[in-house]
Amino acid sequence: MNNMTWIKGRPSPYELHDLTHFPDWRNLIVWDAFINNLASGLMVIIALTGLATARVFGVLLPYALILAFIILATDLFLLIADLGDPWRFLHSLRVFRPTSPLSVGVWALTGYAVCLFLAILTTWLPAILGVPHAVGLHMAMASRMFTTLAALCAAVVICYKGVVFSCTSQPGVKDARWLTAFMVSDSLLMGCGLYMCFAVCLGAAMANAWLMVPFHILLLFRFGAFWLLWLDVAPRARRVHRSNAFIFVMVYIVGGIIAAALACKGGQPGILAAGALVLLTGLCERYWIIGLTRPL
Amino acid sequence: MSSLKDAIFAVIRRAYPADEPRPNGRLDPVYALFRRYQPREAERELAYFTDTSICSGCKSCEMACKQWNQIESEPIRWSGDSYDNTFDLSAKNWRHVKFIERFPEENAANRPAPKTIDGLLKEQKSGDWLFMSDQCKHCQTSPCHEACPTGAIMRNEFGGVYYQTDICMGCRMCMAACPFGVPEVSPETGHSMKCAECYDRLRDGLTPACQLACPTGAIEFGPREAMLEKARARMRFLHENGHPEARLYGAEDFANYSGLNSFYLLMDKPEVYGLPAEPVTPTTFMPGDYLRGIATLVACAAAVASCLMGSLL
Repeated sequence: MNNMTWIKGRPSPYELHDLTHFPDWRNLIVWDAFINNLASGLMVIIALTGLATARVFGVLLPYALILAFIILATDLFLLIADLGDPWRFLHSLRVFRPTSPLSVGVWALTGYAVCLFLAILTTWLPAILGVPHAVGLHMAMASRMFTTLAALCAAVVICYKGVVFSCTSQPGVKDARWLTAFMVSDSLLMGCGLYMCFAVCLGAAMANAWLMVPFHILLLFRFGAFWLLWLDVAPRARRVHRSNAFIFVMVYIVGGIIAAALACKGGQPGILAAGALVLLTGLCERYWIIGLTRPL
Repeated sequence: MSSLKDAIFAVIRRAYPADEPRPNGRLDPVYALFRRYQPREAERELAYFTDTSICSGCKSCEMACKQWNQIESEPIRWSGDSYDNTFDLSAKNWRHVKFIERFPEENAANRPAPKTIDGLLKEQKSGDWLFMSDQCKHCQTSPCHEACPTGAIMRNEFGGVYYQTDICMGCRMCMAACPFGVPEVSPETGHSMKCAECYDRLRDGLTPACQLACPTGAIEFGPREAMLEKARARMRFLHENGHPEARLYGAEDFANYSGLNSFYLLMDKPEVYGLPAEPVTPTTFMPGDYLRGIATLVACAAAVASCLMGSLL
């Protein structure tokens, strides 16, 4: 170059811009992430409570499995609806590719859906058909087995959902090394919150009393994971969300504290409000996190 | 009716040649769905070398790419701040000649014009153009290939990354994974598309259409080692002739990314051309991310279970 001095202070049109293509992660993806985490978190909580303390949660279990299945079906619908060519969804079941988080997730979701369906069948069929006692015992054992398998698959689903975002080249989330940890803790908290609301609706006060301490512990876990996530994504969050970035964090923390207080002191309406607050903040967080990838 | 039957049998015959044993008898149609052919044996790795120092920005490569691959042209849009109206690589633009136009804001149109050619040549420059014919980098370890959940993305026998659009389901994971912003899902078909390295031409012993159309020889294509030699020789020449800023991009491995099978000679830093200075393979972080997630899951589950068991006691 003959004279380079003019270049100083004059960035090229390509500098200071995001280089990657925005994969159009908007509402459908955010809702998919939310419902997916809710379905898998709920399943893990259902299995943990149902297997650890069957005496308390055994009454809720059959209904909770159906609730989990409905949420899972919604998530599968969203996952497929988001594809460019939804009819080709089955193509992802022709191969298994461990390097692709989505492939791991699709297989785990499939396993989760099948096991959960079988768990529901084996739980409800004896009651509906009135099978002999011996067969009923075998069905109960099968039900426990399928519930455990569904929970294991759900655990894989929880883990893949963070990796599917963080192991990309998208600005913001590509640096979020704690995104998976955050999504795991958040999905378990949302699952716990929803289960508490469900118990209130079915009038199982005892179940709520048992879930109160785990709910608060999971809230603490979520705060911790969110703090680590914030350290990863703060520079991008300040650029994308500008002043709203910090306001959101404050609202999020205050919301969490209110949820904790409501769950403790608010009685049954308080538990419902705490559950709703946890779900609402869960949805907002996903809008906030996935919004980091928006082109500037 | 018979023509339909013939057509069906023609398909079956194509899938199962006469000399090939039938593996599953009546289950053949089901088996066919899951059948996989062995990939072709790897041949000599081919690569593009793009010398941006002699690119004139004519966009012949863009035209040739569209013509050969029969890609629909887009309606002309004007950005208002550039002579480039292709904007970006996309499902319909598998090649894009980037215009890097850097000029001072003050308009020097009213200055007295030089009277002679010598005067014009000696005139102090107040701006500069850089051009770069951009395309898929056909990375040696390609994140799009790793991220694809359907196996629609494959590496061909020449080392190029090829998208099978008849398998792609449009999940956009390749878009998310590519650090260079190359693939894009077509809004019309819903499938991901990008440069196919003129695979059909390569199979017939021809060079890619863009390389053939380049009037200045800025785009070269051939065995990777030969391209590397050319690129290094050209860089040496530029260094010896007053252009110390000339550099190669993608010829060697990056610190956290593989080398590229489409590498460039740049006349400025990569960021100026819209290239990441240090691309990173996204899957590098995958084990750690999974591990942190699993550790959190185990810790949360243990805490919940211990609470429940504690209450039980």
